[in-house]
Amino acid sequence: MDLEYSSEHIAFQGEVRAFLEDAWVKPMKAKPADRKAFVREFRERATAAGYLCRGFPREYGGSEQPNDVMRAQIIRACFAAARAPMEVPGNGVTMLAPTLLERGADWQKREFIPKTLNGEYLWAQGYSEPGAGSDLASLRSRAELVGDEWVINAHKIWTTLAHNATHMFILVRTEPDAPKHEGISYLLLRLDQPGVTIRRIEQISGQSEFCETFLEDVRTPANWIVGERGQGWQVSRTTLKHERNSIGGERTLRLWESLVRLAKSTDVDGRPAIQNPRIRDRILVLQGYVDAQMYSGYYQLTRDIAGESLGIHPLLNKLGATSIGLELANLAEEIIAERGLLMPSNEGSGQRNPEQWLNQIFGSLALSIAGGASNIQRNIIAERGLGLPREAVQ
Amino acid sequence: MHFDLSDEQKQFEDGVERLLADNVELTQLTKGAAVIDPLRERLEGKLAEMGAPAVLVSEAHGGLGMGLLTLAVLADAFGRHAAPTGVLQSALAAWAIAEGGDDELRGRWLEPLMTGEARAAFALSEGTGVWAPDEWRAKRTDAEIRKVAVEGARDAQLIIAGTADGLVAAAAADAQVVARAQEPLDMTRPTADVSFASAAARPLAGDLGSRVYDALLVLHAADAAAAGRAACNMAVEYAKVREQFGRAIGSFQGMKHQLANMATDIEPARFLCWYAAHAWDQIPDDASRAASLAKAHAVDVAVKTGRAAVEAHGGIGYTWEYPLHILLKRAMHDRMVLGSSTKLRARAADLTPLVAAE
Repeated sequence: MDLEYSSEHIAFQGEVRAFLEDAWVKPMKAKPADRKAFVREFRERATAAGYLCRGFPREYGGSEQPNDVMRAQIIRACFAAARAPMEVPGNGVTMLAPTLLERGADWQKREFIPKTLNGEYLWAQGYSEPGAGSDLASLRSRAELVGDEWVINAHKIWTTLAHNATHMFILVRTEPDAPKHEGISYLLLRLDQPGVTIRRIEQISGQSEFCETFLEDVRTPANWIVGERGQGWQVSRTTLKHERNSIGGERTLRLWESLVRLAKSTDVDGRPAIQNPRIRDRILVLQGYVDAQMYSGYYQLTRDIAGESLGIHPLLNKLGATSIGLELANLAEEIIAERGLLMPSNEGSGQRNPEQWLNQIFGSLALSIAGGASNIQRNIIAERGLGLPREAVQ
Repeated sequence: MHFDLSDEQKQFEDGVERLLADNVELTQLTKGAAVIDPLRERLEGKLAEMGAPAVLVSEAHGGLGMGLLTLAVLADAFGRHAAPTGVLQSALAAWAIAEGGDDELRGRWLEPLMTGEARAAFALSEGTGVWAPDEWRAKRTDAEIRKVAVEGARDAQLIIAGTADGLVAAAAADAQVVARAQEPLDMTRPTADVSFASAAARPLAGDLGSRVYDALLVLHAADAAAAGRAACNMAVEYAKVREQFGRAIGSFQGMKHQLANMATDIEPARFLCWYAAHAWDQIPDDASRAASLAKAHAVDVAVKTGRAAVEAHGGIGYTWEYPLHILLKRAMHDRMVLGSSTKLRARAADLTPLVAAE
């Protein structure tokens, strides 16, 4: 057991910090006139330095670094400390680009990956449908090959940030006679064309990050298919292999720390909530779960570096983090009390007013649904992790 | 950064696991002292041969110097098998004697403790939930020192007791050890009340009370986390073979979800214990906080898991002959010693800079 960085890693950490000081912290203090352009330029520099897009070849706009989860971890920690942006957020960089790298044709990699990494193409994910959520493979949106184009008719939902997106990667049924999982294809399309209707979904949080997307006779070239016809389900299962094992537990720890700060800055019964023995105890109960999960993350990272089996632990990460998030929300709600009767204003979001916690309070619910609802996670843990008999599914 | 056991620790763990798998049968433990007492003798003989009682003592004092993390790995193995042994207490006592004993104490006890010839017990509790060093009211100047709920006292040759003036050591031969007539809750670890004339005791130098208390917190935490994990595994295995409505009950989603929740709760707890052990070995500033939090968390989650495991079993889990209750009671014992979880969390809170600072 050794929780220190090696001298090589300490040197690397110093290098990253120096880079960030020079390329991000100092210029940000000077308040760049065009913030968007500055961020784009910063990402280019950070990529050239080998800190961003590490798993992507240089010819596709990546920095092509050897797989090194420890360095990746140091980079994440340093960027977070400097509040510097990492890769362009969204499904394009985390889902589409790695999928293309694994399964795409060479021309698709050249055409799509660089523009995705630099943020020129913003991607919406067209997976869920009103009738196909947890049971995604029952999806009914379809596409037909007509001449040299796919003609798509689809009704997709939870297409995150689709109203800002330029493109969509979509699962559609192209082989109606094939068995459920074998009739699906993975297509790419432009969203700026006739037949595309995007409706923003108003969420219980008052925000609208999610959309419902209707595609009526929307067209895309025949070769904008990733993998073969009918392989879409397999293609969509492709995951990022490069340095994939981020320590999820650290994000939960940051959230716990802000809860503690809330409890110190918010009065309950005329004194800071943290001094209330019951609230203090519940904060410490949470810390037990938070720390246990973080050290489980350290363990997984260590085993991953050594190429050893991770056992059941990775399967538990999402449900563990979700459960903690829900309980954190519960406690935050008790602390903010009547201060949560007004929704947070969308302006000046930099400030952490007590009612700002409503975003976490609702957001924790979104996290328990998105990317595999908690009950689906429980099925996965039980069947793949504990070896219980699989459900007979159709 | 390396958050895993060393190869040496893994080898030690494998050896102990083989020993326990070959010798400890959970079902046999339900038969009580008639089985448990001879088993304890057999296990401790073998564990002594493997060097377990010498794990913590530094090499300078003739021990293995393998740290508390190694002992915590053994505690994990003992917890998951509900192994009846007090070897961890002896190993910790050997360390305390080596670090704080005078020549006479060292001369008389160090070697016998490290070879397993002598056993030790820690007398900390004064009843009414008083366990922690800052709560000890017994004084070295008292004519008699009385302690209750002393685990392993019946088999010990050496008693180490906590007083407001530090730790003191007394030969069990000079003490009165009174076991109550009732059966112990955890039959694998009986307790007794202990009293001795302070004139018969010798002080240990230095402020070892907190170190010993923190080490015991970590060891009981690791024991409980492992017992909870074993209970969860028993429920999983049972769900695979028990059939109702014509199919294995583990194929029902209700059961799957309950078992998945149990695994999500209990599996990571072990790593919190590892960290606390590592902190005791390497990060002294964080050792008391980490030990307190690990103990509170591990025992609470372990008992919760143990109870859920009984529920998942149905009626069979509530019978004496089915050995699940041995694991549940092991976790309950761990929870009931060394102070309540609420108190330990308060101790941890006061030691957590972010929480404690104004």
